[in-house]
Amino acid sequence: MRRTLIQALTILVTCVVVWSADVARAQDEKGPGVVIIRGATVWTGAEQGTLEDGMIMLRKGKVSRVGSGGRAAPPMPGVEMIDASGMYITPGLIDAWTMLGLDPGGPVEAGATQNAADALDCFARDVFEDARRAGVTSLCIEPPAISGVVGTAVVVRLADLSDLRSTMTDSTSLVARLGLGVRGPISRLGEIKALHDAFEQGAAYRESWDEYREKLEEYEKKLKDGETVKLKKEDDKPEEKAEAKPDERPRRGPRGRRRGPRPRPSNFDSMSDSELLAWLQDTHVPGEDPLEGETHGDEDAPIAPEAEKPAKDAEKKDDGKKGGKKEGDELTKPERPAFDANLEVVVRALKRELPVRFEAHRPGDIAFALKIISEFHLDGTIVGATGAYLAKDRVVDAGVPIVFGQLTGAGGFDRSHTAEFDAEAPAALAAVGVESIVIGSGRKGGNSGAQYLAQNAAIAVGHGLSEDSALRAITIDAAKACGIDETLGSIEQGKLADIVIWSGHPLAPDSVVERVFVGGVEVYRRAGN
Amino acid sequence: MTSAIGEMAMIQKQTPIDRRRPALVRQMPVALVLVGLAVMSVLATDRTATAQSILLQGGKIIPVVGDTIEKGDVLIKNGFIEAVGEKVDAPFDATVVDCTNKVVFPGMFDAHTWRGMDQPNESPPVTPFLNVYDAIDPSQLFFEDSLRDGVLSIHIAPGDDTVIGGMSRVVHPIGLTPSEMTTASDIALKLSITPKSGFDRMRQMATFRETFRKLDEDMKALAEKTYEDQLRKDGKDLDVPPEEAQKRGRELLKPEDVPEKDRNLLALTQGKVRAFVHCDKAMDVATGIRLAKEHGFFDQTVFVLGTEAFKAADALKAAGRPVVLDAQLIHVETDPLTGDEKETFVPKIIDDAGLEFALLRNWGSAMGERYLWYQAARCVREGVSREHALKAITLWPAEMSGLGHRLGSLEVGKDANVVVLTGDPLDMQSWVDKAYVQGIEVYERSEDIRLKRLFAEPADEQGPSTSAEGEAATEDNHEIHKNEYKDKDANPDDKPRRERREGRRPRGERRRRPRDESGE
Amino acid sequence: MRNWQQQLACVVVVVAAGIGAAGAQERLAIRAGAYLDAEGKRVDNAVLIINKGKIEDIGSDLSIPTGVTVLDRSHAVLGPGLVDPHVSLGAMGRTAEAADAVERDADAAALFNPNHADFEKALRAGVTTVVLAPSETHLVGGVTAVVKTGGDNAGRMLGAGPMKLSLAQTAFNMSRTPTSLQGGLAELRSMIAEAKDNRADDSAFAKWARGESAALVELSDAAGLTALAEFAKEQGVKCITLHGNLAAERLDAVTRLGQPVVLGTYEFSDPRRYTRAPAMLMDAGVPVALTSNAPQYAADWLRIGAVIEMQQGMSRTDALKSVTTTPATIAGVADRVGALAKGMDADFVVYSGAPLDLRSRILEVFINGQRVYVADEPPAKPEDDDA
Repeated sequence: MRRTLIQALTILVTCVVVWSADVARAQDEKGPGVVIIRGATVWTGAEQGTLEDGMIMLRKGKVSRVGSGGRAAPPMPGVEMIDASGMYITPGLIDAWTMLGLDPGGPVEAGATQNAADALDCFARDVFEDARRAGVTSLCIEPPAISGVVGTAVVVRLADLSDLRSTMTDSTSLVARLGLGVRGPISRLGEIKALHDAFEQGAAYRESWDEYREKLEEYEKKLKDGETVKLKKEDDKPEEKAEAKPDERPRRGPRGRRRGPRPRPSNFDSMSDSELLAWLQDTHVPGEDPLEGETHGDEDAPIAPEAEKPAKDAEKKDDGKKGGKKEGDELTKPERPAFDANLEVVVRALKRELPVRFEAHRPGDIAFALKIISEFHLDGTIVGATGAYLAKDRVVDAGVPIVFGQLTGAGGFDRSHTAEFDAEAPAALAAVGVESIVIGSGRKGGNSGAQYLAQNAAIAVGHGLSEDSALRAITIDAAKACGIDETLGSIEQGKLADIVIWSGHPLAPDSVVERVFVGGVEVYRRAGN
Repeated sequence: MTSAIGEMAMIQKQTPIDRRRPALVRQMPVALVLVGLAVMSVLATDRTATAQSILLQGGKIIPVVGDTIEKGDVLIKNGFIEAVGEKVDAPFDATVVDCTNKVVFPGMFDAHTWRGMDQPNESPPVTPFLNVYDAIDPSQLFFEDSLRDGVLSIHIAPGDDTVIGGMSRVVHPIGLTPSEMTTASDIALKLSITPKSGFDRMRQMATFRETFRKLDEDMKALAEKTYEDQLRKDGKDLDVPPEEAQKRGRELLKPEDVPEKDRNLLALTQGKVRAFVHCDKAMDVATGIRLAKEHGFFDQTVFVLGTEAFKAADALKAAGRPVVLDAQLIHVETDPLTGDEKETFVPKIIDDAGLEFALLRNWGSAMGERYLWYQAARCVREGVSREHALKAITLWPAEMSGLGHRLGSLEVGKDANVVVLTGDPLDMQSWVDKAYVQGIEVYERSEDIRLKRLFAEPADEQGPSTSAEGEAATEDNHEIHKNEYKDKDANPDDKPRRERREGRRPRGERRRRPRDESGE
Repeated sequence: MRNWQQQLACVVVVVAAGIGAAGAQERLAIRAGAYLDAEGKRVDNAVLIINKGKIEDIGSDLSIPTGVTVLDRSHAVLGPGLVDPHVSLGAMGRTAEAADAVERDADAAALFNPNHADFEKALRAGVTTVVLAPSETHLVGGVTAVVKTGGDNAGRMLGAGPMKLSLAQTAFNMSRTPTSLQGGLAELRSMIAEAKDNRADDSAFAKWARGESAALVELSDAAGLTALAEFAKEQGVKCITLHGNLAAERLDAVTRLGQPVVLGTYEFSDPRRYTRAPAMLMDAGVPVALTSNAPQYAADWLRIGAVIEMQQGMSRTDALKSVTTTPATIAGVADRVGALAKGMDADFVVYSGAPLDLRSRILEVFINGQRVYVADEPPAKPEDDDA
């Protein structure tokens, strides 16, 4: 016991000494000055948990010390000492799902190349200021379209509002939506198929390029070795074939995973809706698909006869071009697949370079999204998820983060996709062990939703979620869902100094934000403070 | 069609000043036939049109560049300005025009408009291969009005609802065919960051990216093919990888090998063609700048701004590119918190940012903003210097179109596009008395048939608009135009066929109206 | 450590012990951690004694008479049941007639469908008393009805509320007269004159016309508010404005009306331009009641709306009043509901913490001393806590 005490004292003394040294050094520094905040209850969102009488030092835009206690140091130039006794400190809140600040004009369209950054109105400053005065310092803004692969999201850190672009990262994740409305394909079947096809086409595209690159490498090597390509006369026109669309050349993947569009089952027209749905939703693990087994015995054979044709034709043409010579005798230039900007983005998702957010609400839609995630090995997240608690087991098994939006229903209107809505969903999922639960302001939040992000999280607490989980849902877990948890989302030494000082507990109804620091710079202070 | 394609050269370098005689002089015999047109009849009645030298004597000269000469002479010879000064010796055969108590001013320049075209848009979003040549409708009242208002150069850009419009040109408002009217062709490509109808901003930008990417891909393929064709011709085998073949092929590539469809766009990415980039909102400005920089045409870019875009003044200032301002000049917005309305006078902010800007007019408006000089006068009233306000309707727009060496001021060697005004150019009471395009008198107020008709005594007039004419006798432009439209409305069957056509709203106008009232 | 399991245990015990039949019993006592008094102040160690559905006594550490069943809610806070002054629960889409702009004698009591699922949702949101109102598509919509959201059907109808009028855009449609604000006011003027002449007329409209009662007047724009203020002064009628979300911009007109106002629904997506209005009006001395307009919006927005107002700077007390006493006053039932005080109906909500803190869970709802809602939770270990 005594030893522990001595150890603790030693640590404390060391801290104070190191801290004083820091402060001394700080005086010479330029840029954001040093800020030392003392006396508050600090919810760190990290291993340190909640610190009573906490002390935080912000320096060079980062958190340089987090601890407890510490004495008031004498005032020093370039060092701001803040006495925050009785107040709360949290990391800057992160709204992991919003459409705030998007230009309202124009229709909304889907497509993987749609980039939310293009529609973000950086000059809607009042909107961003409102978010910041509510303690929100980072946002993940999604493109608004309703159905299919709708585009890529942008993450914005609300530092200098006059130069928002400098703290903006676009294409942080690919967004896909399912079951939200009637725009796009009219039936759910069509919508599900279109979404699935998008990833299948991406996979085929990826493979055709991988194949091409492989061949190209070989070809270049052979050229290096002195081989040459005999060029035919003009009438051969070999270039025309380069137009072949990637989705016309489906092949089974190297690991036996199906890459091309699936063949229609023979009884396609006579299938009932539920049979068709079951078929569409079925996972495509080779060997498990009864239809696949029936139609094609050979794993490596192209799947569909009609899909096979173009490839064969191409081969035939190749043969003709070679003038009857034996294969392998002569070097030929590999055909370059056509470029497709949309599929390029999908390929990034397939390579897990780009996380994919599926917005789905009904349990069935969520199950389907989870199937796509597992089928294509995506780095997936389920967004919206109002009915996720009804598919708890699948969600737990998939181990994907869940991002909720506004936790109170709209009432009599717009019940279509949120019919299963229940504010207890976050608690219900947490109870069964879903690790990453995030709360954003959601598609209903509009331009003002982020103002009430903390209160939205409070609703979850009122419906059974623990306070700690609720705070995590709007800070560190939100940061993880946005891919920015390396630098943001918690108060830890070395992370960026995005800090909010609250007058009381951040989830309490009458707490207000006293001050907001972004990158160690004060960006908001309550009037009269 | 052939003519348009013939003129659609990839690269436009204007021929130097000492080139041929101005086109209009060559075309005069044609022009003389055109007595049918009201303005052309003015032209035809004036014999001086064929004279080689004209001396504008004794007027107050506002040359825009250089000091104002209170009383001086301007000598026009062979379509160019030969001399400007307090006292200019004229050749013996010069036609002397007495300009005492009048003001000599360069012809005004409309920096950017989609007017004067029959159907300014094509339905596909990307149409860089279009040429405004094919759409200009010389018979539109727009040109006649421009002439009467002293706007002697008009930059017409195709597409007011597009992603990439087409190739623009600068015309003078006189002539029977687009060729006759052309001052300079292939000025700039029209691009729009603001989404076209049916598009949102994301789709608009995705379309740009896809277009440029495709161009790049196509050019690579073309270069590779060109190289292979060369080898084939030489009977050689291909022995280099595609990348190298592309590189070698690019050097072999001749401009005419590039498919016509891609030529303009390629020229744009090579920085050989100007770009007029429309940014309606402030958020579009940064995007526009980025797009221009990424694709190599930033140094050739002029930003065409909506009223709200002034909020991006910092970005524009850093970019340092010239801008064309919306005809509305004032931005009105409602405070989301208080509901208060706030007005901002845009040109002042742009001027304070040190940018060169051009003012637009809103032709078709019944208000003063249909006149460029009214727009300039408003700027002066709001604190912009007189010098800048005048440049914004003359020299700066000329420079934006790459015609600063030919137009926009009264300097020796420039095209003789000159207006003689009855008073100061910023005075609403001033009239254009005479106008010269490339040294030819194209307008004389006393011969302006339409004005004559408006000011005529009721007894002399057989037209239907007797009631309106009493008040029309005042020298108030608002009234004149109001009455003219009344006149047309009063008896639509009575007016000539041509006018009826013009009375029709040009396509695209109706849709644009709610968004802004500008002439952009 | 907030311990709702424990409280739930109580709940379960309550169920087991047949307290569900508490209404049948004459007297019942509840011991709670705290309650909010009529002024919205927190009083610790609360004891609430219910007799025949009314509050016999309430206070801190009161002694409980022997023989009375006692419920222990010592980890919970009791708050008054919330009152919503403008709903169409159970009648959505059935509150309007298309033919006439004036439905002078329509009575919203006819809309009351006591078993509709909407009422269950309202109970879950802690709302115990509501004003059922005709739609805003009528210049004169009829008289509203004040009802409780649960309990014995016999006692749920509290009576007629204020008249409902509307000067909203939707009240004026081109297929009938009047078609404009001026036409609407002209029509009202002649109706008022008629009602004033006919002293024998004791309809709700006539009472309003004679200035004896107030009416709810729905608005959709600020111009209507200004016109209404002038009209009310000229005719001497009392008008409680409804949905005048831009009221803060016409503060003078609102103060001239001299009546409370009803505002809402406030959602998270509402801009400050709207949500700041209640706090500003309260500062100017105008009582404000919030509404959820359920079921068009979820009934939960009533309590969340009060929290939104606190975020905009309203005090806890004022925020509580805006969802309890002020709407009760507007409904004309302030003597029965809206506060926990002696003699009032025993309508209250058992919260796991502070009533207007969204972190607090609504555990139970009582109406007339009868428990009408119990939060649905996984059952915890039963525990004896009965006296």
